[in-house]
Amino acid sequence: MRIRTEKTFIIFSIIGFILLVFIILPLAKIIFSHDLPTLADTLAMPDVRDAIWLSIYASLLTAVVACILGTPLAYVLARKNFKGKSLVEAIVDLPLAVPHTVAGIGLLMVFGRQQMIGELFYDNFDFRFFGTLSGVILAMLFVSSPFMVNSAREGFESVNQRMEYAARTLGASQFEVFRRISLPLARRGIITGMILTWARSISEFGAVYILAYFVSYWDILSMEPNIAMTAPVLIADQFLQYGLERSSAIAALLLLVCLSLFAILRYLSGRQK
Amino acid sequence: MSQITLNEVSCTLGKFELININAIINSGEFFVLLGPTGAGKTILLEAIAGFHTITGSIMIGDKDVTDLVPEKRNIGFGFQDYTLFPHLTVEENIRFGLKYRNISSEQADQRVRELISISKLEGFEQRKPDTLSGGERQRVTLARALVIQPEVLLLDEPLSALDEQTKEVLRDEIHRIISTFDVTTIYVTHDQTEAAMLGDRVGIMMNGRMIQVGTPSEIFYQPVNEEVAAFVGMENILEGTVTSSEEGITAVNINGSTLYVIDTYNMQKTVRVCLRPEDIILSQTPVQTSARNLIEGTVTRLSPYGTLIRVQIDCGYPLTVIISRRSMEDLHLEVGSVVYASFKASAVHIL
Repeated sequence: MRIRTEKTFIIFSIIGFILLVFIILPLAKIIFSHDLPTLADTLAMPDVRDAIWLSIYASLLTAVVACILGTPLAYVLARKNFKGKSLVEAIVDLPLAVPHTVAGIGLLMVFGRQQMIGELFYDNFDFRFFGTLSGVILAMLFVSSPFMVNSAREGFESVNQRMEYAARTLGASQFEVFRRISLPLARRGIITGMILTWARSISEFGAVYILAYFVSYWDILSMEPNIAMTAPVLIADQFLQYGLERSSAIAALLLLVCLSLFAILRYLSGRQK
Repeated sequence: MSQITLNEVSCTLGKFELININAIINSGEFFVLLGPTGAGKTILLEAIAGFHTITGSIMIGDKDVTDLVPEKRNIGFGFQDYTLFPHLTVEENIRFGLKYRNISSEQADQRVRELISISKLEGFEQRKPDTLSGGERQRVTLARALVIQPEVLLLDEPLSALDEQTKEVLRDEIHRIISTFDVTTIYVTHDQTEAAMLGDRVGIMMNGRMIQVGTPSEIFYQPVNEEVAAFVGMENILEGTVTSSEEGITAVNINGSTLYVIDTYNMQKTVRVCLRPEDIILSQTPVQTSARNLIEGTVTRLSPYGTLIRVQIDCGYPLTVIISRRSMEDLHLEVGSVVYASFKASAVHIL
């Protein structure tokens, strides 16, 4: 009898297992195709090290920028109903539907040195987005912002609005309520948003490829200006120049770094429950 | 402690609305807002607290607060669902509002201690809300609202989520705690028992309107219309024609039977009268009592009503009577039994 009632779940689990294997297999293949000495040799190459570090660094900055720009919008969407709200929601989700190379082209047409905003910054501050760290962040932000806004919004929606009302009657202004009640209680959603943003950003290729193939940036580790590619761009570059062997070794390293960071972050955010 | 004056308060909120609410809640009064679910009670409370845009005006004391933001109204609010801040301890919850008052931290400490003591929350100070029982949470909610020494206290169904026993204990507790503060209170409920036990006065709300305001006995014995009568448990509502009206006693003919009423009467020919089911006494024989109305009838239905029994009899017109289970057994009642119903003329009210 017990088996009959569980049948559906057994079949569903088997189907689910197929999907899990599909996700794990290619990743495991990348990691286990290389022995440790090869990986160590690859890591010893300065352009590989720079690329992995640049990817981590740029995506972390992107997560911070996304949090600062995305949280207020998430709060508005969670709390207010207004005309055109569904249009705003559609715009928030739009980057999910735009091919990333298209996003890169679009960004370039706005932030390029002789375009709209790009020209403004170049003429007034001698500041370029194309081929710089800020360009990488723009590209990453564009493609990952839906994750930030939607997660933070879910966080705010989980906070009972009457709780905010209660705080208002006790004398707190709207901003005080946000700071002392809504923000701390929506913290999990915001942190999840930042992790997803970071994960999406570190893996971004298309938009970064268009906007900042070679990235000149100020390296905070060596305290010197440097030029490098982000890791996904470097992997594509190496694949085209030298083939699978070389590119997959770098891929394995990037994967290991990402997985460990992802595991640590999930562990840390899980502990905050 | 301040008087609350509602003047033509109207508000539309999705499918709910308030329509021209006029009421004066006296300074220091315990005012119960009673009405069925969806009547607009909560919206009215939230409008007074400043969460909805309204037309008309709201005065607290002699101050017009209609356009004032909620945080400037000095109102204590206890919400229906628990709105304690889950990330703060009991003490931090109670202290929350004092941060926005111009008082020293010593004064704040003292007030928090006072409220913890009055609300019997000693030992709970460092606990988080989710470790408390429903009754304890409501006491913290009340303490948090009262610590700011509000001019007005608004409570939205504070007992609705509790079990019967806790409800009774907490009802008395709430009354005791609030009475130590002398604060003008509006208490929302759909429970008539709470309204009858707590209210100095009761306001009946239905479909966004304030239908009747009065003392509990006015509300429960002299409802203004059939709707209110039905809502407050006047299960017998009968239509008849007035045959005479002398010396304050009005005779009403209902389906050929005469019913005597002591009530004001405004010379209509056709009237509706109402009578509470617990005001009728049943007997097996026509007993001599001071009750002016005595009528024979046949039992048509017996059904349990909580621990009591609801008896429906046909005496030319239908009457519903509520008696104890014990009485039913003593009277050997069953469907078809012949009984005599008696009730005082003063228990009948003309609508």
